[in-house]
Amino acid sequence: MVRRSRNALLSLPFYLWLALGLIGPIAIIVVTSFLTRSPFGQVEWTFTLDAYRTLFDYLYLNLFMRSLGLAAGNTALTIAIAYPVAYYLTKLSPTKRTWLLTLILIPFWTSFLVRVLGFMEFLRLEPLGIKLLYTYFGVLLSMCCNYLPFALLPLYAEVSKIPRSVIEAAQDLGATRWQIFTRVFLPLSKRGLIVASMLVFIPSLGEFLIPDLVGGGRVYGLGSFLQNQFLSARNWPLGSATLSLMLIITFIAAKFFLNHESENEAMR
Amino acid sequence: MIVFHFIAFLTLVFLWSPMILIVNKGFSWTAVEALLRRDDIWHAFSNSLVLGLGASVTATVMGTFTAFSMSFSSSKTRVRMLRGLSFPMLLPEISLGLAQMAWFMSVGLSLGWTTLFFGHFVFLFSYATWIMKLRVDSLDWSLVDAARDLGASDMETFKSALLPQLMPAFGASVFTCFALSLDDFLISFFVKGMNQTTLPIQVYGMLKLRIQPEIYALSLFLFCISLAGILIAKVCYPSAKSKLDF
Repeated sequence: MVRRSRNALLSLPFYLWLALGLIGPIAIIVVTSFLTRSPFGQVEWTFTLDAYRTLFDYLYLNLFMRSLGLAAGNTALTIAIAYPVAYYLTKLSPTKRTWLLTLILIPFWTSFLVRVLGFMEFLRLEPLGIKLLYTYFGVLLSMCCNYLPFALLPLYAEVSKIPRSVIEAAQDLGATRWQIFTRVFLPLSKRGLIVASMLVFIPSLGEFLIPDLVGGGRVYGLGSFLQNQFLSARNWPLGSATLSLMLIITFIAAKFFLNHESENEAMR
Repeated sequence: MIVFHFIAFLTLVFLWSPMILIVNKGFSWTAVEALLRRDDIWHAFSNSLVLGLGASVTATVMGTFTAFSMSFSSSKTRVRMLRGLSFPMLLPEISLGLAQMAWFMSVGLSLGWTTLFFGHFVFLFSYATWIMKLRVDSLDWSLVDAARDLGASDMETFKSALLPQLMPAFGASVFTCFALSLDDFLISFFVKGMNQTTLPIQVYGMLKLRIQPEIYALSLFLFCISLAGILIAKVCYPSAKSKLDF
């Protein structure tokens, strides 16, 4: 139908984008992570594993682990909120559902920084009766509110596909509420849970603005660390090694998602 | 069911209280007046508009080419291309920004408008291609065959049979990319030069220093813009299939 040469021309932008926008930058990071930093903050072409050795030093590993902890905590909290809301949405009438979804999603159409400012104002009022601004829990709370749609939408998509008849069948067979949840509901929405946790976990791993602004520099995450190594401390090899580790984690986490997506595409 | 009512209600309270606080503080004449006097903010805003529009249109045009090329490819190639496309969408934004900064500096490009534009283009391209792909996959090719049978040239066929079908998706893609670009902080933060500011960068600087009243007025202004954006999207695409991603 379309001649091969013409298709090659059509796909040219894609391959240029891939090479110049993605592979090139990532390759530079990986290469830099094996180089050395000169006393003046330049990168020297001497091959070492020093950056990785430093990274696995107690101090940095501790920081890395704490960042992973923040991302994991955020994922758990976000899903703990999004899961019941997703279920609640399926129970509503279509009109009410549209309304509730719209109300939930409107704040996310606002600029991210505006939302962060709003949250800082909100936390300053101490709505839970404890100091929240510039604390770990405050950071966790605002991250959770910022990542809610990433969890809510895939969860809702999956939960709404669970046929009511299956749940009714379980009820007829005398299952308790807990049994219905663990043996019917949970397995049937497993895929949504996996996708949701990935969509929250990966971006929160590199979150920079919320720890920086809501945490007031007191909550130090991977994002602040990277920014510091690249811009202020000018230790590019160490920053690149950290980034490479982050990319490896992303690769592993994304593997599942991409496989699943391409299965869908291959079935077409 | 009571528990679920409560959770949904609490979620709404948590999402909307920050918005209401901001609207409340922004609705004052002193704040608005202070905002109107801040030329640097308006300068950053117009920078963001130009950058966003340029990068969005470029990304959408390139995305359309890619979407067509995908639909002509074997399913194996298509799967590979899709993997490449979704990868930057999954990456933490900071890694894309830093990697691009390192890349520009090592190939000898000095950071400035060019790198800012390219940085935005790179991350918008994935979104644009996804949106255009959805449309290209469901194109009605019989119209193209009909135009050909009636003796239309390549250009005429494109204009009369393909373009009208593509236009709505094209608009949706530019709109989405524009919104994403306007809101981007992390990529701009790393790939911009010393003298470039975009709106988010300006706002970040203002939040880092002392918080002044005009920031609330600006936030209110941005909130109104996004509300208007949602309304426009609703009017332009009333039959949007999914209620989820209006």
